[in-house]
Amino acid sequence: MKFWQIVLKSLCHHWLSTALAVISIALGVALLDSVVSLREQTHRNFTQEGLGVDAILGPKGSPLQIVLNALYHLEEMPGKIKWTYYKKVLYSEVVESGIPFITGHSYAGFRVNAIDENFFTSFEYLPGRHFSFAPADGGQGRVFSGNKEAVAGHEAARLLNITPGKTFNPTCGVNAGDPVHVNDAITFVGVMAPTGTPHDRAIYIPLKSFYSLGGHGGEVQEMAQNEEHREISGAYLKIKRIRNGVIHPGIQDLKYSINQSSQAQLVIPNEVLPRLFSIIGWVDLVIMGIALLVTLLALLFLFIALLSALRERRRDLALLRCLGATRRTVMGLMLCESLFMSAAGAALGIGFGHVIVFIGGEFIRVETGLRFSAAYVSTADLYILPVVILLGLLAGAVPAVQAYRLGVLKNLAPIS
Amino acid sequence: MFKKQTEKLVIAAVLMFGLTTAMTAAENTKEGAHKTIHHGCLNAIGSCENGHAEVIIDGNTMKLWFVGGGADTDKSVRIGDNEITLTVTFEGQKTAVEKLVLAAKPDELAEEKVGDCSSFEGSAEWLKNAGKFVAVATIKFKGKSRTLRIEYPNGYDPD
Repeated sequence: MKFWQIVLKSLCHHWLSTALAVISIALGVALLDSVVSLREQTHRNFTQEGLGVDAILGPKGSPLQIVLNALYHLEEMPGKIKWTYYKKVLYSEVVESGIPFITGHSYAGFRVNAIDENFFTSFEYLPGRHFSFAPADGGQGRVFSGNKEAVAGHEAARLLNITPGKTFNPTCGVNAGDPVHVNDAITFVGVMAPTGTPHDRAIYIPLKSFYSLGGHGGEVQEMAQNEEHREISGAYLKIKRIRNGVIHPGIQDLKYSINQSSQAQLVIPNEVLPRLFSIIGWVDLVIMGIALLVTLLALLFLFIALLSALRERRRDLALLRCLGATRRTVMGLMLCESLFMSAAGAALGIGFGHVIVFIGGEFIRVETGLRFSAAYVSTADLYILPVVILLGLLAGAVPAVQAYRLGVLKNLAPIS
Repeated sequence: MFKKQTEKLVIAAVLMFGLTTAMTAAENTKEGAHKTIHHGCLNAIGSCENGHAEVIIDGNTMKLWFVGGGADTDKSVRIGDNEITLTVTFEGQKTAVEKLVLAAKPDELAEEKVGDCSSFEGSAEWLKNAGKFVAVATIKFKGKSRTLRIEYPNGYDPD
């Protein structure tokens, strides 16, 4: 009988303790793998190039609130800014273009944002990627052209069964119980192709149609014609580039100038979000610490299982020695059993971990529009298998040494 | 013999402590340099906590911004002066040799105007090869008459 056959037969003979050891290691590894994968993908989703936005011109208030509202359709804008101020900022030598928007409305729990139509042609939701309505990309219909038209993000359309031709009445607010514009039926004319960004969860109407919605009062309606009195929630700004595509260094001077005004502030998403993660980074560490502890406990269980298996098999191992097996062979048997269980547990755990990411990712996608891929290869995927195997070998070291030092005569003595 | 050894040990310990403290203080001084939005040199007005004048020289033009004290160097402080007349003394010379007038340059996006402005600018040919100099003027900063002292290019901090 070959060496590996003996190992496998031994593992099968003690199938219950083998299975329990493998499953417990798999659970610990799955937890660690899924936590690392979700953590890395969260960081990537929230810090990737500011989701296509160099800077956001917004009202005075919390920069984080502005970023969450403008990019992730969460929270509310802390105020409004004047259209005339926005136009002044556009004339700055470092600003290439701007896309003004107004937030604050909703429909069936999804945000309804009024936005300039350039959003659908010139805005890059990810570097080099523009919105599409093409059926080949998963979209439908077209971008709006009239005041009573709207388009929906892919996820919003899927969950609300939106197709071109359907109508809705926007709610004036984002909370349950806010008044509905009952006299303003707006028709969906398009569904955007999926982007994997929070824009999939939003509904968009033309900027000027916001001012004409009934119930906003004469002053707001006048804003549609009168630029002097017009207000917006904010604007996405594209900053000019210098050589090698580097963002114009004047953005910091622009930020300084705007932030000194009483009217507005310039928020750079790539500065705000990393700061947020550095504040809450300790939460990640605690969760990862727990996952690591679970994995170590599983390996401790493996150690105990091997030790108790050795006690039961002393006579068997002594017989093997009598049949010609050397001390090193017997030691190798123990180490290989440990190696096999830890490797199997780690491999199974990585698989489980990706399943957890798939399930968790679905929940997160439905709630936020952010996509988490089960196929994402995280740092844990690269290191967890060799590390767990190494730790498994360490767990098997003591039983292996005991097997090496096993006394043949002593363990072959009659039991009764 | 043991007494002498003990004395030597005590002196060595005190020296080590002193050295470590000095190094730590030096480190803290280096680490404590305030950030500058325009990458200029900061010159305290009165004291570091009161406010600063950030100065850069770009070719033959001196640009100056009045900013906050302490860590608030990213916040502008407006003054009512329409212009600032600097008296300049170059390194190695005892008497002032140049005058430079900085005119208010209101930042439109910051809603500034002349008489309520934080940035000033002035040009002179000698600025191109300025080297080290000290420039002094009197301004009204935060409602009080203050001496503005610019030590270029290292900055000025009396604290």
